[in-house]
Amino acid sequence: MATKPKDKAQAQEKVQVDEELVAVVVADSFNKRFLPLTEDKPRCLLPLANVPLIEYTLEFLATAGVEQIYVVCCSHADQIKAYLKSSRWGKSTFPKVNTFVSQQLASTGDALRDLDAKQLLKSDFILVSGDVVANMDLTKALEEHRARRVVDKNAIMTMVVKAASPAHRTRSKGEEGIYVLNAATQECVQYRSLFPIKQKLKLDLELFKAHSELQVRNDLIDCQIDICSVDVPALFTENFDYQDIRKHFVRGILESDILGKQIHCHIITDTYAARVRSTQMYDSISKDVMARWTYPMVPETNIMGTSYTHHSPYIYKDESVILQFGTKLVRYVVVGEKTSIGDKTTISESVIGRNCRIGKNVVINGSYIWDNVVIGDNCVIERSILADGVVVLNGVKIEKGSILSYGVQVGPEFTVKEFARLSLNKGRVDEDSDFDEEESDAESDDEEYDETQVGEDGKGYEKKDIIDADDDDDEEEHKAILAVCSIARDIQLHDIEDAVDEDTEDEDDLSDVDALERSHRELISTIERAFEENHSIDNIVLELNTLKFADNLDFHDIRLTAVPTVLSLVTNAATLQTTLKRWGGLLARFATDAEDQLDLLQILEEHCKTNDEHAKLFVKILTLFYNLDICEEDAFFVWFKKSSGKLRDSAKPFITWLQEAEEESSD
Amino acid sequence: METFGAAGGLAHSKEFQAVILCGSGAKLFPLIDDNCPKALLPLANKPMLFYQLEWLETAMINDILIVCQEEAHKKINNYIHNVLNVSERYPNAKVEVIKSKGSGTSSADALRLVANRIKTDFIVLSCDTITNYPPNKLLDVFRIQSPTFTALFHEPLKAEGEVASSKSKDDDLIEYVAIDHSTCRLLFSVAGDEVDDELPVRMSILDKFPVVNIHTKLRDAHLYVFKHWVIDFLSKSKIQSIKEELIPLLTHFQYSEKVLKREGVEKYLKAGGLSYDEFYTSRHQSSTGGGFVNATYSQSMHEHYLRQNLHNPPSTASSTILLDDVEDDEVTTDFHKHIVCTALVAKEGYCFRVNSVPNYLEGSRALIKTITPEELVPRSVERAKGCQVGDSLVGDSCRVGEKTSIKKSVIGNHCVIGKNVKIINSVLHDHCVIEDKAVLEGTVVCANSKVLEMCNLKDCQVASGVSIEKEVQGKNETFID
Repeated sequence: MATKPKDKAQAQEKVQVDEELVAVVVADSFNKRFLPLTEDKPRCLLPLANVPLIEYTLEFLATAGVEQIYVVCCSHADQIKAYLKSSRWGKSTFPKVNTFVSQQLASTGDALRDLDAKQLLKSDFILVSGDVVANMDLTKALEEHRARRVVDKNAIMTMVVKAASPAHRTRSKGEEGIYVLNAATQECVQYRSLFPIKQKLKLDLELFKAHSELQVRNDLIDCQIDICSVDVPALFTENFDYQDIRKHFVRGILESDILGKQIHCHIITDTYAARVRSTQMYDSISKDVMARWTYPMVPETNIMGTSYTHHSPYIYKDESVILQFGTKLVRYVVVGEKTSIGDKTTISESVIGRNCRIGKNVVINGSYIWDNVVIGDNCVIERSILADGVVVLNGVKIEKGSILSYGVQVGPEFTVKEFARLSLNKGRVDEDSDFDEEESDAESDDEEYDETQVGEDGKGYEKKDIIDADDDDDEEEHKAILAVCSIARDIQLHDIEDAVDEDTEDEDDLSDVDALERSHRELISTIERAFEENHSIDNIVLELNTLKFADNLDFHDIRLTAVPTVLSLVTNAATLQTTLKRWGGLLARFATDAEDQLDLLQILEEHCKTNDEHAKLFVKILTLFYNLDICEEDAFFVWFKKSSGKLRDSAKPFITWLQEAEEESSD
Repeated sequence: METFGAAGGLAHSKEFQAVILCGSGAKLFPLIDDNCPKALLPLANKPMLFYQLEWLETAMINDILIVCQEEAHKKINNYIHNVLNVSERYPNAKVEVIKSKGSGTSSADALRLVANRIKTDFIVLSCDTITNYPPNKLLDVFRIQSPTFTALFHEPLKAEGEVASSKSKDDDLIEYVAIDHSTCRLLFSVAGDEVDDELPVRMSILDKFPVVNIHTKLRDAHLYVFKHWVIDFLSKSKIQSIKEELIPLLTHFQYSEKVLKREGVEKYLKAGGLSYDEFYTSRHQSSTGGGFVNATYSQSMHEHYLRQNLHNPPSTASSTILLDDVEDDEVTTDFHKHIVCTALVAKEGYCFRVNSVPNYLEGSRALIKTITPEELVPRSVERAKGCQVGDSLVGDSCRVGEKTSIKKSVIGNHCVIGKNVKIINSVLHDHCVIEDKAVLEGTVVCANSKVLEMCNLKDCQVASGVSIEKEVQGKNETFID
């Protein structure tokens, strides 16, 4: 499409600035969220509405008048290079697309350090990742950035963010950030990720000294489009521990007193920009494309030389598609070239790729079916992703959130359980980025497939070790992390209702309470299971931390559960010592500072008040707490001072002894 | 007032009543005295009370109660009925001056005094609030959103001249005011001395109100519109200060059901005609299971609050409540649907408070700018040759001597100013005499005072009826009898 800048203002701008407009595209996601799909293909080549993601990014940059585009590739670099060479960008001189291959990159930080080392960037540049979909006008953001640079060289970066509601579907769940801006200048003075969830945002009062009016914004979508000055790569080189541009770089710059650099935000309200960060975002952005928010980047623009036409309501069909009389396309549907769909099949809110064959009586809802997929009759596919060449035999039901990687075959008459991830590659994955494994053994026919995973005639393995390969296969842990960013996960992290609608808030309360009790039970069962199976303390701590993370608990909640559960093993004085020796460490791990230890003692006291048996052992427990270094002296003293009642009085000799002991040691 | 509403006429509605609270104005010493109570302190040659009445007239509010101290009652009553002649000037308005008993009356006490007369939603303003902010903007927010109250905030006047600015700084402690401007919601306001190093912002607030502006420069204009039930609530409570207790408490009600309950606000809401049942049952359900962590919390907080309120001075009492709740009240974080607090920032026109001498001077200058040049120096002023009057308001029948220069100042009526006098950034009340070669800068000279030859006064205040000897040099001084 537009390979020449049509925008006159942009042209004038160029004359004034006399600088070549350069963009850096980081064509690697450096994470594993799309596994197993990214085992064989880099994320930027994954199709979104049947167009590879990088096309959207490059198109956006070309429209913005960028002259030089540097694509930095790491994993699957050959594929990206080959693709770009063969595509329309290969011959394009305006913009000119250059690819750089740097193996061993592990993060955006590495990529920028690499660029800094190569000294390619001489002026301000646009930094985007290779999976950004946007139709925004960069001119204004660039102008603002340059105007600021003229006044103050320390304004090193402008982040483009989009205003939306806090619960907007295109806000990447688990990666939402809170921006604190100077209301007048849009300077970003604090950035905090919403995760891990906290009850409060704390604003340093020092900030108010420099900025009289701050704006706290929880409604911004991070588009991952940054306008950077050349100082940015240099700063990355200076600080080799910066990896992520948001988590490390932005925070590092904002929190540093020495650097004195400033980062600004450019807030867009009426145009579109978003980044495919996760499968959940893939889902949202696909829907945005179909709903035409990204216009002119919609299917019937046919940038890939296709022949889509647009029909109401939001149905995009290539000319070569074959439908039966009884085929029903409900709405938000894209169907690619030469695909045929059988009779009485219903498709809604889905994208179907090229050369697919879909049988009769199939229901496809909210799913993304890529190229050359064969789906048999009477199948139900619910909110899942089916990669190239997947074969779904007759009568298969694929439950929500599943991902079927390249060439997987399932069925017949089989149900793929929700959130399953199937792949032909059996191997464990233990690299940190998009995966480059040259697996040659994957296709061998004589391999045994597990029927319970893929059905009688199925081919493929269930991947259970996607996120955390090192620790034991704990279901809970996967769910906790996957829950945040998977396709079809409907959880609400905060139970956010519509921004101003307060009528529904009462239900929130109920569900909150339920959730609290549920997580309480879950905590107990986790600890009890650990007792039975004699886990190590480290493992329990890990599990509990995961639950805490998933259910939005704090350490107090964990202590509240852990104390009675550990003590439930104690029946008499004899078992007390052994129990606490074995499991006391657990309590210690959740009470590291004086305040926590005080809380622990208070919980212990409360517990003993309700349990006569333990009340008798109270002083012994205290002594053991001290001997086993679960709590320090000071915590005991503070507790003793604050507490009252029988139990406290019974502890008096112990406290006195402790005081004496301390005095002696200090003498 | 017995005929309340009868004479209201069709043009003016009975939607709101207004209460003007006339405080003692201790910070304006020595500008005010027994002869000139705060409400009648001339500002740009008009008593301050004039501005509030004018604003209420623009707002088409007719039912006005002025609460003042016993000593000031006679003066104010006289001004309203004889000098201003309200019945002719504002024929629709009914203005009544009510005296409060005792000198240490707090703002809330003053309101309680007239509680039984307040029958509608009501406006409360202080006699030192000077604004021409369009009243309808404020009232429309109240009408549309139907909040518990709407408050007006303003930015402090930009000080002219360094001296004035350095003085105005210690004027008020910094206050963190969080407003969502798209909905005008006032989310919280925390005084600077209530927080240490960090200002905590609840995430639940940010979920409901994703764009929150936190201001540090805003000042409360002491101009509020309240729902009627607030007066019932206030008359049963021990609250002393509207600004420091009532407003923070109501703001806090927005997201703490517990505080709401222990204050027993439901019955007032019910009396206010809200669908109490629906409101109560829904809240009740949601709170029954909430005791997992904080079961005993509410009770203890209640006692704590009572203790605080009984034994502590009012201002600290309120702040402690607020902070404690913010710290501990983790379970209920939902915004309450019947308590809605709104706030506007006066960005157009002028809005300021005359609560200190520097503010008085700055306010005077701000008002000069709003007066047309023809009115600044009336014809009755006798101007000798070579005198310069710039950016200044000069009262009726004044005499200005040769080569005298008056800049950015207000001169009262019937003043006599000699030759070669310099008056900059100053205010003179009526019947002052300034003799030759005197220099006044940043100085207030009250009525009937004399400044003799060659005096040089900078940032001084001269009480009324004082005579300053020749060649006195003064800086930052106060001259009284």
